[in-house]
Amino acid sequence: MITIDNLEFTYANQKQPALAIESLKIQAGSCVVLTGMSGSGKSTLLRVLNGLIPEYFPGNLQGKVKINGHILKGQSIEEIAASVGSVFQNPKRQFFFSKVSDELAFPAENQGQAPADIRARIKKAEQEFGLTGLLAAKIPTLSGGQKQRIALVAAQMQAPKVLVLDEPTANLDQVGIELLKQNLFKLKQAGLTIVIAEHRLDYLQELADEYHYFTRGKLVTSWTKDDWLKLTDEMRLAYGLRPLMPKKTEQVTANEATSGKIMLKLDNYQLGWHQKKLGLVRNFELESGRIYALTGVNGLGKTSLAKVLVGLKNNHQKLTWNGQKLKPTQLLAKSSYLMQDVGSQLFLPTVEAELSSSGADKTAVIKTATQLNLGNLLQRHPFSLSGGQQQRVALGRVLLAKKELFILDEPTSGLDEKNMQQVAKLICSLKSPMRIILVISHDYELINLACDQVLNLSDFLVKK
Amino acid sequence: MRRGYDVRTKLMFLLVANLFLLVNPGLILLWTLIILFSLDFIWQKTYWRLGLYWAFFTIATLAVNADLNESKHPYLGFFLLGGLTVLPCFMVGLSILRTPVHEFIQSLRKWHIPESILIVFGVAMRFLPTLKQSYCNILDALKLRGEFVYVYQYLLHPLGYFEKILIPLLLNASQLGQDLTIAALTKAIGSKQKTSYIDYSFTFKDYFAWFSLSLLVVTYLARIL
Repeated sequence: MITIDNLEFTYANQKQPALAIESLKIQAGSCVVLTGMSGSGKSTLLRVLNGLIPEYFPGNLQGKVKINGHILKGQSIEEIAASVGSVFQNPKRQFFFSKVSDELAFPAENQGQAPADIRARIKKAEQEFGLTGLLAAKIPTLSGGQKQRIALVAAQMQAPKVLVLDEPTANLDQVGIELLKQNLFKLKQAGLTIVIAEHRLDYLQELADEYHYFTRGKLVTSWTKDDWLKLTDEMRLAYGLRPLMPKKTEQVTANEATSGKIMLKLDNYQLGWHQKKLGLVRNFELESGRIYALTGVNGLGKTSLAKVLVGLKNNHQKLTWNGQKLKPTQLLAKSSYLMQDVGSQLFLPTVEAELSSSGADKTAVIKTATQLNLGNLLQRHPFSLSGGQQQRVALGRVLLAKKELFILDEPTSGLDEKNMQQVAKLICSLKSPMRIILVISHDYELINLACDQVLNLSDFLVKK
Repeated sequence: MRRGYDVRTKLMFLLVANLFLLVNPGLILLWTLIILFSLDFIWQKTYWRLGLYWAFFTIATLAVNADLNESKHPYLGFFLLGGLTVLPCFMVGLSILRTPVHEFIQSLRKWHIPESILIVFGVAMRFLPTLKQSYCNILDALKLRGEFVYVYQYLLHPLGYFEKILIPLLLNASQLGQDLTIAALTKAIGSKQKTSYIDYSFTFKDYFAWFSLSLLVVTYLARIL
């Protein structure tokens, strides 16, 4: 059982406490969801539980936190790691080794477990969590869903009592989320206490026993499973939380499709990723004046296709723009593209400079920044911002560009409800007869809010 | 798993290859070293890579025997003769870099190399592929802004290269380093009593290599003394 009494934490160099909880009890073997908007203190609580606070993130920590009767204060992060396993948001950035079995062995080896026991645990995990055939695989070659599964299995290898997960589904497709859910069920059945900080709540309906809602570092409301399920989606939206059953809103129906003036077509193109052939793209057509959503499971080739469309990859003369064949450099000049790797798209020393580099005037920059909740961050360096804020800066830069083709690759991964809605609005406001807009996303709520037509890449892909 | 030499044996090979680079021990000793290390490629069944090395070594040796030296053919001579002594170092060095990080760290731990060095090495190996990916992404992002679209633009704007490519790359690296540190800390990377689920011990291959390498060095020393 986890008990928290009068907990307060203030990060070094900050005045306001990032987290203040009077009292919270989490029963052993239960699954608890921490929710609330970005920056509300959910992740801070997870960091207290896994010992990163105060050892890695220094600051002033007050109060008492006990896990299974042991007070955390005074324990080293290594001691805490023996009883608390952690899974993070980005599956690309949490692995130390490149081979799956090495990564699984890592936490158990660090706890000094006997080699034979570790091998037995790996064998057991392989059968239990469906890793057959994956143990010898190289992690970088796996899909996002598979990577997150490895991260989850690795987090329980040292036989912890508690698992903390920080937005584990931010980069996952529906299939990946479903797998994560099943594996979380197994871990819960095995008696682990699971604490998840999350924006996407639909997949947790059957799994979670309690929900705790945070605002500005404070635990405001808690719901039991029954109370939570009794709430309507309107009530959840009022809290700034994601609905369980996303619906089309008024705003989209008002945003009628306008007739297009530009037609982009890709036909007979052999799609590939590195050396791997993914299939032949047939009759992929986009028209201006509409907002398209592109979906499909991880690893199908959506990002690869986007790179061809914007001119980052050669189209081998298979792409036409209003019937005319265009070279990649001509396409580059027409395109604005939000890549998934946000950090590599920020170049300038302030948020304002970054947004202005799109060529937009100051009024437009300030308006967009305000819409994206970046209004008071204009003078900050983009790299001093949080992941979600960086994501919105990069998105703002892309949306402000005076281009004709806009492709956004997972623009809302890891954004809370409020920011997601703002992004949806901005995308809708971009719609014009002179612009083609394609949103690659697994976020069905965003698709429902912003897109006119959903394309599944597998419908256009012919595999030999 | 196909295993060749232990990492520690490979490091000893690297030391001897570097020694031979400095002192030019003659063709026979050099070829003995090459053949000894080629066994590792055979055990790991990477024949095509071995084939390439051998093709070069054979051509270079033939050239030396045909008396093709630097005074007659300055460039070709330099390339072939230099390659003959430098390439064994690369052959061994690159093979060490291809060693899985787990094997590398666990093997060197047996030599009681300080943990701080091992972890830095592990993180560096983990860094390289991710950094390469970030570098490609940064170039793509710049192309979309109409910058550095053509290769000649790198030459025209060397300062821009630093500002727009290297600095974002460093910032990316520091963020990646932070994420990796956090993940590794929560897996108790700093603990004192670590074990290894695979036992990387010396096999007869390694004892044979250490014996042969000692013999090689002794032969060389006996010749010059």
